[in-house]
Amino acid sequence: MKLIPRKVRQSTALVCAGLIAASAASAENIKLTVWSDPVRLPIYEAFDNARDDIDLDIVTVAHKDTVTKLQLALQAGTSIPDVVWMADVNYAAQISTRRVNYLMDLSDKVSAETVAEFYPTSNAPCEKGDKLICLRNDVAHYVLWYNKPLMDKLGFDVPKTWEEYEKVGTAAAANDSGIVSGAILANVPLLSTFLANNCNLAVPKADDPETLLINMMEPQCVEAAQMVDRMIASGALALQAPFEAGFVDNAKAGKLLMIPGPTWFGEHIIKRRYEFAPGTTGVAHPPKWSHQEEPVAWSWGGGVWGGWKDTAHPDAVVDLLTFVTTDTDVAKAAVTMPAHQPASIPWGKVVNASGYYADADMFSILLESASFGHPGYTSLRIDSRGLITKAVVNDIANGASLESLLPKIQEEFSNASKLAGYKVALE
Amino acid sequence: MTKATVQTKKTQGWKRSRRRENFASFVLLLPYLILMMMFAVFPVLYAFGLSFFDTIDYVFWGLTNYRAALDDYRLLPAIKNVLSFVTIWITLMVIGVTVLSLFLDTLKERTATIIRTVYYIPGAIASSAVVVLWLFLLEPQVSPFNFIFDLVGWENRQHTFQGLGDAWIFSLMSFVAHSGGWIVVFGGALASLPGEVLEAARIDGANRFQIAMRIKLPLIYRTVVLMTILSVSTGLQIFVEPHLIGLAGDEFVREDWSVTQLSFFYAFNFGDFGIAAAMSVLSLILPFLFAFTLIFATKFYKID
Repeated sequence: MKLIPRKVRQSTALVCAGLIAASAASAENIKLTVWSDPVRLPIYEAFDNARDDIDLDIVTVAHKDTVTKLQLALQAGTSIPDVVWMADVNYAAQISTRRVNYLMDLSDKVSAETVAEFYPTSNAPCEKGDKLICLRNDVAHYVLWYNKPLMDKLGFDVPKTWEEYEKVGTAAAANDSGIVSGAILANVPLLSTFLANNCNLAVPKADDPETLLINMMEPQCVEAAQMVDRMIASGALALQAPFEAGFVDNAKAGKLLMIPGPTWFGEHIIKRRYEFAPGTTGVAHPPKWSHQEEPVAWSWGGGVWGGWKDTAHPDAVVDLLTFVTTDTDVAKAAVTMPAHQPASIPWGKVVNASGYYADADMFSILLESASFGHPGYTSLRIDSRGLITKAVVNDIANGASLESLLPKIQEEFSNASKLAGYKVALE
Repeated sequence: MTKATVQTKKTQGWKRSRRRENFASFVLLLPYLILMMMFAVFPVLYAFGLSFFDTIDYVFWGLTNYRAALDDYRLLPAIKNVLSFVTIWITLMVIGVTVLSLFLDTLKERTATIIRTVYYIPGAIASSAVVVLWLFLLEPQVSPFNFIFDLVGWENRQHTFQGLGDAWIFSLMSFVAHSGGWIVVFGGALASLPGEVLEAARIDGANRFQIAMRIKLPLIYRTVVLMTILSVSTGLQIFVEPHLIGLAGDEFVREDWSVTQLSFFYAFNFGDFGIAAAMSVLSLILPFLFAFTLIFATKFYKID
């Protein structure tokens, strides 16, 4: 005993005690690693408080790095997270391929009742054959946002159809008034304009999700493109991106009459960036084309949550996924409209109670519009946003008409879809 | 007999000391060699091996990955982009760096040192930060050079990008980032030129321009060749600039502009490390060919 100095003996004993304590703790508590963005940290805190038996280890990952880092982790076989937040619905498809098979099938783990409580079509990005590979966090379908005092002052009715939208927008922009009704020079605004008219721009075939319908020569696509071209020419549509400094300045100066945008535009863009005064912001159902029975709304974002199929604690993972998507207290504080309908009600109450919007019950418009969601808003292995950017954004910025670029869109999307392993069909 | 023994002993002694010197230089080189094996040679060999395998079940499938890489519809445009970038950038580097260095060499030493340091500063910034900086420079609304943009009538970043073209924009970015370091190297090369040669030229009545063109330039041509070789291999791997330009906004995203980006895309979007490796191996061929051609055509390692 004399051979070992006292200090060493003491510290060895301490280390041993520590190890025993640590192993005892880990036997009690399940530890889950979660990859997320910083915005969602309060949700995990709430879960941590609600569940004493589960500890969460949160790693913040930039949205764009999610897939990249996951590929590396899977390749290395270490530090693979148990739960992943995916800001882009396409990530779900990108990490559930034969090559990168990460996502857990939730179809037999989350009860059918819970799944049914989500807004119709909201979980379409998570359906892969019979499997349910993720849960939708928020719905982000398009509605029509407008400046109510300006609309009243100019004496227009809020448009119900795209034809009316064009008429009102063009009339408001007449005489170089500088009043605009949207910003078109960005990926999702372009995509949504086509898809609202049921133009087949990389829409999975209903009976065969591995076949993408791409046909830009259809009359609906041409009709949508021509409307955009006419409205750019008349100055009704700004040849800018909605978050670009110039457009934001214009909106702040009261020159934005209306803008088609997703559910989160109200809280995050119109209130915070465009700085519309309280009581100014109106919201209406998304417009429909006159030949449509009801509107079709594309979506902008609306992230999803997924779990790791090889996690050591599948039950805990499912509990966490259900909690973050359906818990009503979490929903109240959510930054966007929850995709789980019962959870979205308290959120809607909070938004309505804020008194910011022109309509005291603006939430009911968002809620009703959810049923117009495009069933083709699914998770794809192609990057639709990047593709439309590459195909048209630069060219229309420099004066090309959108109609003249339809063949380029067709080619770019067809090539990329084939590369990603899809079959491409015209109809 | 005795004479011979003495001689052998001498040779042995010389050999021993030579061996000791060799040993010492290997010891000194060792840290570098180990790092080079770990982070340069091994990854290249690993990628080379990987490029012949299917990375799902790790079965050998010959040239399938190469076929897939060559079939990619984005490959040709990407090669075109990279080549136009390299052409513009190398021209800028060779002319710009040489001219600036020769000018600096005619100034007083103190002034030249200060200016050289100023040139070097942008090179000390990581190229990712340079990209962000450039996004401001290229935005007519906030750029300090907005008078130039006014002159040509560019009102927004789209116009600037369209007006200059991606290859020129990336070339300018890279030129600013890389030229400073080479100007310092050129400064060193010019400082080490033999004074008596320059003196003789001056006495013979050569003016500054003639000295620069006829004496200095031929004496530092190896440094120019070295810069060209290293810059071409850096340039062919262009990645950071197009990858980060998307920070300017979604409409500026160029995910498939360069060949290296395609390789990145396969590895990290599709998780197909096999095709990514094949693409990387393919993109090694050109720099190799180019470097060897230049080295042998210019007798780069020949000692006069």
